[in-house]
Amino acid sequence: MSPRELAVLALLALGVGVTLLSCLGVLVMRDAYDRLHYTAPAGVLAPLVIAAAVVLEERLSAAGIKAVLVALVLVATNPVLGHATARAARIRQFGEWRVREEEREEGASP
Amino acid sequence: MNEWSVAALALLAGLVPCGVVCLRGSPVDRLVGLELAGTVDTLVLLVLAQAYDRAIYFDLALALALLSFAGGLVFARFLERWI
Repeated sequence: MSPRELAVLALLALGVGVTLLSCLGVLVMRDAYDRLHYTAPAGVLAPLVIAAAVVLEERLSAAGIKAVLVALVLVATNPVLGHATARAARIRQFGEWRVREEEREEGASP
Repeated sequence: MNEWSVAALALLAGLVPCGVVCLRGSPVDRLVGLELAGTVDTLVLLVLAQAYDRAIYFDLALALALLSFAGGLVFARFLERWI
């Protein structure tokens, strides 16, 4: 087995492992804000690592370029989606997303 | 069955926790489960495209990535006030 094949296997295993751990984290956490943190590794790290594995195997062919494109789309959209979801959760909870007066006072007090 | 098929199978197992989260909890919790399931599905399609060695299959992953993003935004918007 060549070093390149070993690197592909390692990257693939890392991507799969990160994704599975993220899924378990989302399952285990208590509320939506905690769960949202665990969507980030699966949406940012795993696509980059898997795309790197594809590029290592295919070089920059059509498949490699498309894999990188998919990874870039996921990396760009996942934080936006997380923010929108957290904003929705906060609006459902408090009626608005801005910092409330009570929170401002709590933050100011030592 | 090559290493990419095995990776796709392993990634599919990640859909089980997402499904469990989608089945219980508050609506926002369920939305988080759905969003993560969309990401995992995209990765599965990405890996399967490489497993079958067909460059055109990567377009499916790209379409799903874009559509799950749009769908998630619509759900988040509705969850803000109306559902």
